[in-house]
Amino acid sequence: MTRQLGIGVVVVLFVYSFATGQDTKRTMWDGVFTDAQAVRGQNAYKASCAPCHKADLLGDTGAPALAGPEFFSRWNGSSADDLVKTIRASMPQDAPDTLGTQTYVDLVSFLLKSNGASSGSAELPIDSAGLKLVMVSNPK
Amino acid sequence: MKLVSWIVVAMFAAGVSALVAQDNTGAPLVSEVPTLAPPKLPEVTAKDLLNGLNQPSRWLMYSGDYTGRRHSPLKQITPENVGRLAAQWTFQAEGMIIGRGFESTPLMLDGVLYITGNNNYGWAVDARSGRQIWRYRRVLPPALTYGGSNPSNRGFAASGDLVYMGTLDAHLIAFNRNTGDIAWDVVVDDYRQGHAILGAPLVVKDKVITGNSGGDLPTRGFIDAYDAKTGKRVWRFYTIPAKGEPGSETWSHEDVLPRGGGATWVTGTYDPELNLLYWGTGNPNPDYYGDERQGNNLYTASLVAIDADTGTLKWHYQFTPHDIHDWDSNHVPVLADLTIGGRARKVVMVANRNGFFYTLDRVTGERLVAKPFTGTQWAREVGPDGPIVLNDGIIPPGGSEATTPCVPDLRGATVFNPPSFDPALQTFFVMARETCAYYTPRRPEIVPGRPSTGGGMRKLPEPDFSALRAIDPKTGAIRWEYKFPTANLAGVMSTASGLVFTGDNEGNFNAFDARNGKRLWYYRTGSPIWGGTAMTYVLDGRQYVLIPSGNTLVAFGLPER
Repeated sequence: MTRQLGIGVVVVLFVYSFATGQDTKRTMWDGVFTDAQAVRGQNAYKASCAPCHKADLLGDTGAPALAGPEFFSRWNGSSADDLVKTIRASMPQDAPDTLGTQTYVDLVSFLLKSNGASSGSAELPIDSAGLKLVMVSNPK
Repeated sequence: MKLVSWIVVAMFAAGVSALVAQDNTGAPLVSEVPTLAPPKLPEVTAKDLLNGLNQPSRWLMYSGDYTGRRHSPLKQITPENVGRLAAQWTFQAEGMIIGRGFESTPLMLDGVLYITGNNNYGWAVDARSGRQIWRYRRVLPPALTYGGSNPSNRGFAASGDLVYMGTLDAHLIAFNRNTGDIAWDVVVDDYRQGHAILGAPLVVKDKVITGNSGGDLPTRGFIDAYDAKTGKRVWRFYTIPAKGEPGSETWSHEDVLPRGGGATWVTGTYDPELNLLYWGTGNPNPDYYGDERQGNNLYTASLVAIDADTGTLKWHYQFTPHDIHDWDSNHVPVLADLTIGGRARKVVMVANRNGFFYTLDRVTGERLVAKPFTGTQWAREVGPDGPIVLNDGIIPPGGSEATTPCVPDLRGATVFNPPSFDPALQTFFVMARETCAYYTPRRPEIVPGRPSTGGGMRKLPEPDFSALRAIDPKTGAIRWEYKFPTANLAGVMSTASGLVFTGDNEGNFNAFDARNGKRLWYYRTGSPIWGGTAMTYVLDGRQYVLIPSGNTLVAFGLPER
């Protein structure tokens, strides 16, 4: 019994170490970007996005809201990689895919922050494989 | 061994409960206690639909009737008394999009209004009190594609005791109109590829006709007909030919055909004598990048006339060959009988996104009139084989803004916001937009479910205004206009007493004298009126005019004596 318990503890610790590692799926609520990154994203937002999507991210007739229930109904269940790829494919409207990968990733970190996520100790990565592991999910 | 089995069991249980929580059959999650007992109402017959607005206590389809004129015979509200129009009740909706809200037209049948909202909400509302009878909320799947970026809906259709709605996950649903229970729910196409349904369906005889949305993603557009009782698909007309089919020779790269665009997202019209459906088609895909689709790209940016029984193409007219500006021709095609050049003609009239107004013979597709109705610099006249483009709107390699004029922005001269036609005054009314932009094409990556517009559009800050324009459809001449401060997407309705109703971006719901464009009345609704269009009916002897705006639907009437 004790030997089984010992093995069980080892299994649980093994699983736990994976859960906190960078190579497993996380959600936007797990501290997936840094404060500094979100500030870079905010600056990029002001320059390239705010004219249409507005300073409060609520958009208007010309551009959809990027924060609030509309963000979650659109993106719940999608990965940060989906977000980056979809945004850069058509935005900014006058010159899509011209901001550079790092900026698009920083913008996404700002969107996550604007939708209530807290920062963590590591940046949102710029590689697609890493971005695929970060999921947008509804707030609890 | 035992601990591992418990982990497996726990994981299995978690998986099952996750599945249950994500039930998305579309059934209402909440058992609604109706606020009023649902009445058992007479069924809508094919004859009723043909009769259209001749029964002015009803508004049976998106455009009011099969002609698309959105013109009511009601005369109780007149230019003389419209100044006394007052709000009678307001219905407030939930689940609406910030800043846009309602884009739909309610149906009116026997004292009950049937309304759709954003995110596939639907309601039956008592027209005497404005109170809800039943409500539908769809549990939509995550990771919607086009339907997620544009969660709108333009309205129900009705037949028998059913009302029909297309959904953001590309289903078609039939509801029992008395209870809101789902009668059937069928898959139209795969939303993960980019499909969605936003337009109101159209019932013709025993079939429900629907188009698709998603032409800014790599999809292939179509018009579908479903059995109105069972939901079984009867026919599909693809707007993009398959390899080897007629029209495929207008596409240089055959691998583009399965994803060539041509969506059909605005409700068409129908001529019961000719048994022809008239339906607009959207932009080719990629929207701005045309190098890998050289040629005219049939049947995009066109009007198609298709046999209502079989879905066979009878004729087409292409407004914008090889479109590179996202100028979908998704407009309500308006039917009328006019005498042009001394000859009586059955016509179809389209005010097009490309800035031109067209009158075509609706039997043959022959072009009778094609005149700009905006200040477009894209082209100033239409030659025998299509527009003569005076200046290419895309900055050519090595060219610059100094040498190339701007052309209308991607929304163009007018969009899905409906126009109206007064047959007594023989005048066509449309909300026109005046904008200017430059476009930069760029080869896109093609990924199913991801936008592939293929470039950028830079809209200049000016001009940016709208004008309600009254057009003589026999000549294309503009009789009068009324200007609005910003470019808007308001739809137009007219009545036989000589009134024209339309909204604006500033939130006003306005009434105009149809003869001269003088504004006679307005009401500040509090939200831009974006796609929402007025409808009207008589109930208990009083005429009401309704406008959806933002989160609200307001019913106006003359004060009771």
